[in-house]
Amino acid sequence: MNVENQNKSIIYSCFHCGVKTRKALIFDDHEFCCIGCKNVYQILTKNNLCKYYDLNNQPGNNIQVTNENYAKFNFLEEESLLKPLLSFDSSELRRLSFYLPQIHCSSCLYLLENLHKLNPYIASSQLNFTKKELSVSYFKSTISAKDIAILLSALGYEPYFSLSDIRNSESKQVLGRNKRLYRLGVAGFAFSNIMLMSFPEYFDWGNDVDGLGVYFQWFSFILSIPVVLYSAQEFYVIAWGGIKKKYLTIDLPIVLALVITFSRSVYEITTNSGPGYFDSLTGIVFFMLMGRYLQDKTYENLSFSRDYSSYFPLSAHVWHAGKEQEVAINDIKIEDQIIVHNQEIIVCDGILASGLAVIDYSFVTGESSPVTIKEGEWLYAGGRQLGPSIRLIAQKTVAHGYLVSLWNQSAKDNELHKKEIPIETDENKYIHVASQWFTIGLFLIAIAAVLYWLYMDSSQILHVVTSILIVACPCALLLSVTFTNGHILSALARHGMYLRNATALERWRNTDVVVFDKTGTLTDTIQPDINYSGKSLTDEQLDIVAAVAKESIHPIARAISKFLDRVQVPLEEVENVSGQGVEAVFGVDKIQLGNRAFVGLSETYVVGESGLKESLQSALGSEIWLKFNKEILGVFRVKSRYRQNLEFMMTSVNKRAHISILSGDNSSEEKELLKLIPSNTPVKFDAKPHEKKDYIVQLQLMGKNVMMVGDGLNDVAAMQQANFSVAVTENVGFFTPGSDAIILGNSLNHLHELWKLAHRAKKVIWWSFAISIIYNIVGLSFAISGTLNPLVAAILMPTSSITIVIFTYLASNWGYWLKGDKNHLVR
Amino acid sequence: MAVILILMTCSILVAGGFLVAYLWSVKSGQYDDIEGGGLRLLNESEVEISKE
Repeated sequence: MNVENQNKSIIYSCFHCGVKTRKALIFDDHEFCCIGCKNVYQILTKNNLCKYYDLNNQPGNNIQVTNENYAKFNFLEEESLLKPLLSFDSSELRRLSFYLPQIHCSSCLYLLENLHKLNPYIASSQLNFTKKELSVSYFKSTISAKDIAILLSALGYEPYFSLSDIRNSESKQVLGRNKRLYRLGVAGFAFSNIMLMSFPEYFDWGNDVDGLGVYFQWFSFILSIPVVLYSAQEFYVIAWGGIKKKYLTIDLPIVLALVITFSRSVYEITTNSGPGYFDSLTGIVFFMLMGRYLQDKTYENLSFSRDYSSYFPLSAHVWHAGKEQEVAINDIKIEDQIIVHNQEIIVCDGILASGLAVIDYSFVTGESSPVTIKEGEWLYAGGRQLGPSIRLIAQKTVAHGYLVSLWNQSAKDNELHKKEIPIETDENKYIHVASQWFTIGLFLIAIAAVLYWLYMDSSQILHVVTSILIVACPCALLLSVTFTNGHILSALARHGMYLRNATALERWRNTDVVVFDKTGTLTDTIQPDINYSGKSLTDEQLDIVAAVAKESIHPIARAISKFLDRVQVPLEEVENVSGQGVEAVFGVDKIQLGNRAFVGLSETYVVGESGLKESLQSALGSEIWLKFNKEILGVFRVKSRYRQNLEFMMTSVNKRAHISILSGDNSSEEKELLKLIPSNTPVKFDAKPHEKKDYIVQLQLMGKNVMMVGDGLNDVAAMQQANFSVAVTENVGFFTPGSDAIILGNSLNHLHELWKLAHRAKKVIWWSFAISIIYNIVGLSFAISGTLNPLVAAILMPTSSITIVIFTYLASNWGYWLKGDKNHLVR
Repeated sequence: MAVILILMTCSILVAGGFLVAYLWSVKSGQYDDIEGGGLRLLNESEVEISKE
C-alpha cells in the first residue's frame, strides 16, 4: 500500500502537518512527510475521525519520531505523584487536566474532544481552548494516566507538566471573576428596567394624571434593593478596608453618595414628595462595576507570578534498588543517584557520576552555547541535558540548590522592601489623591450652601445638601481611571505587551532607568545570525544539510535547519554524538555536521579566509562544520542576532530614561552591541545573577526607579528587585520568570511607543477628570440653587458617564488603530 | 390604564428570565472559554450528521 514517490521537481506538502518534502510517503492518495504523520492519519481514518482534515488544511503537528521517550511520563503511574493533579477521583472515574501547548485550531478541538472514539476507556474529554487545557475523564481500572499521555503524544499533542500544577489556585480566581459578572448582571438588569419605568417621569414630570407613577416608583425601589445590597458590595468592602487602615479611598465618598441617594429616594417615595433617584443610583453602580471589570480583566492564559516550580518537572528518575524510580523532586535526598535523560532538566545540584553531560544552561545563565561537563564535575539545577542519559549524585536537595536559593533569596528580600500598596484594588494612587481633594472641595461647597440657605430659607437645607452629595458623586473619577486603564491595557496587549494589572502601569510611568539583559532579550535566541563560508552547495545538498541539522539535539544546529528552511528529505542512520555533532546517511552520501574534532579537523584549520585560531574563536561565536562523505565543504558560523530596529527604540527610550545593559555573556560581541545603543550607555559583561541584582540595588539607593527587561532565570533576582519588570518571550505559552509585564520578542523594538501609551494613560485620566468636573459644576449649580430634580439628575448622570466612557476610549486608542495588530495570544 | 401595570409586571418577569439565564450562563462556565464554543459549534453539527 505504501508507495514511495520521489520526483526532483515536485515539492509535496504533508497532508497531516503541512511540512514540505521532496520525497513523500503516499497513502490513501495523500502525501505524508514521515511515518509519524502517516500513522496519525491511519489512526484517525480507522476511527472515523477524518473530519479532522476537513475542518482545516493540514492541521496536524509534525510528529517527531525521534522524540519517543515516554519515560518522562512515568511519574503518572506513581499514585502519590498523580493524586494532587487529579481534579476528580472516585472508585471508577478519574479526571485529569493536561496542558497541551500545541493546540491551535478547530481540528485540534474536534480530535481531542473525540478521544473516547480512539480509546473506549476514556469516558469523555473536554477542551478549554483559551487555556489550552484538556480535561479527560477515564476509567481508572482499565487505563492509566500515562497511557493517555502517550496517546496524546502519539497524536502530536504532547502534554506538559510542571511542578506548579500542584499548587493550583486558579479556581479561586475564576470564582472572583464570576462574582463580579453576577453583580454586573444584576446591576444592569435593575438599571435598564428602572430606566424604562422612569421614562414617563422624564416626559411628564409632576403631571401624574393616571396615578400610575406611584407604582412605578415602588417598582424602581424594589429593583434597586439588590443593587444596593448585592451589586455595590465591593465598594463597601474596600471603603471599610480603607477606614480600618486610616486611608481615604475613593470608595468611601462613593459609598457616602450611594447611601445618601438611596435614603433620600426612599424618603421621597414614602412621603410621596418625589420619584427618587433610583435610575441614577443603579446607573452609576452599573457603570462603575463595568469600569472595574474592564480594568481588571486578566489574560487567563498568561501567568505573571511563575516561580522556579513552573520550570521544574514534577519528579525525577532516581536509581534505587537496581531500577529507576519516580520520586517527587522535593523528596530527593542528598547522595541519591539521579538519571537525567535526553532533553530533561536537572532538578538539583550534584556531581556527574557517569555519562557525557552536555548541558544547555541558557535559561539559567544567559550563556547561549551548551557546556560540556566531565565526570566528577558539578552540575547545577536548571540545566537541560542534550544527549544520552547521564547519572548524577545529588549534593543538595532541590530547595537548597543554587537556582532555588537565588530565587527564594530575592523573594524574601522583596517581601522586606515590598513597595507598600495599602489598598486592595489596582487603581492608581492619584485617583485617591484626587478623591481626597474632591471630598474636601465637596464639603466646603456643602458648608457654603448650608450657610447661604440658612440665611435664605432654612427649610431647604436638607434638600440642598443631599442634592449636592447626590449630584457630585465622585463616580466620574472612578470611571475615568478604570476605563482609561482598561483601554490602555488592552491597547498594549494588542501590540504584544501584557501587563499584570493597572498598578503596574503607574509604576512603569515612574521609572527613570531602564536596565536591559542582553542574551534572549536584545538578541533573538530562536533565529541567530548564520553565515556559511566554503564551497557553494546545490539545492539538493542544502535540503540534506537542513534535514541533518534538524535531527541534531544541539539548539544551534537546529537553528541552522530553520535558517535554511528547506523541504524535508528522508534520512537513514541518524546518530547524535553528544557534544560533538550529528551524522546521517542520505542515499549513498554520508553527511556529518559538528565541531572541528567531529569532522576530523585540526584546531587551526580555516576555510575561506585567513586568520588565527584565537581571532576565529573570539569573533565568530559558534561554528558548525559540514562534511559530505570525505570532503569538508564549509562551515556555518552562528552569532547571536540582535532584534530588528533596536537602535531606534534605544535612542527613543534614552530620551525618557537612562539605559544600562547587563549581560551574562562574555564581551566578544561588544562591538556590535555598541552600535545599537546610545554612546553614554553603561555596559557590563559577565554579570552573575546576584551582580545584576546588586546593580539595581545601587541604582535604587541613588533614588532611581528601575525598570528591568530580562528573559531568563538568570534575571529573576534583578527583576524582582526592580520597580517594574518586563519578561521577554517568543511565545506567551513559554515559561517566563515572574514579572509585572510580558512582552513578545518582536514587539520589543517598539517599547518606546508602548511606553508613550502608558504615559498617555495619565493625560487621558486628567482630561476626563476635567470633563467630569465640568459636569459636576453644572450639576452643583442646580443642586445649590435648590432646583435639582430627578429629571436633571437622570440626564446628567448617564451623559457624564457615557461621555467619559467614549472619551477615554477614543483618547486611549487615538492613533494606535492603524499600527497593526500584534496580538499573538489567539493563535 | 391599569393594563400598563400588567404589562410592566410581564416585562419585568421576562427581563428577570433573561437575568436568570445570564447568571446561569456565567455559573455554568460559558465565559471560561470564549474561543472554544465557536469552534465546537462546527463539530457538533458534524456528529449529528455522522449518526444518521
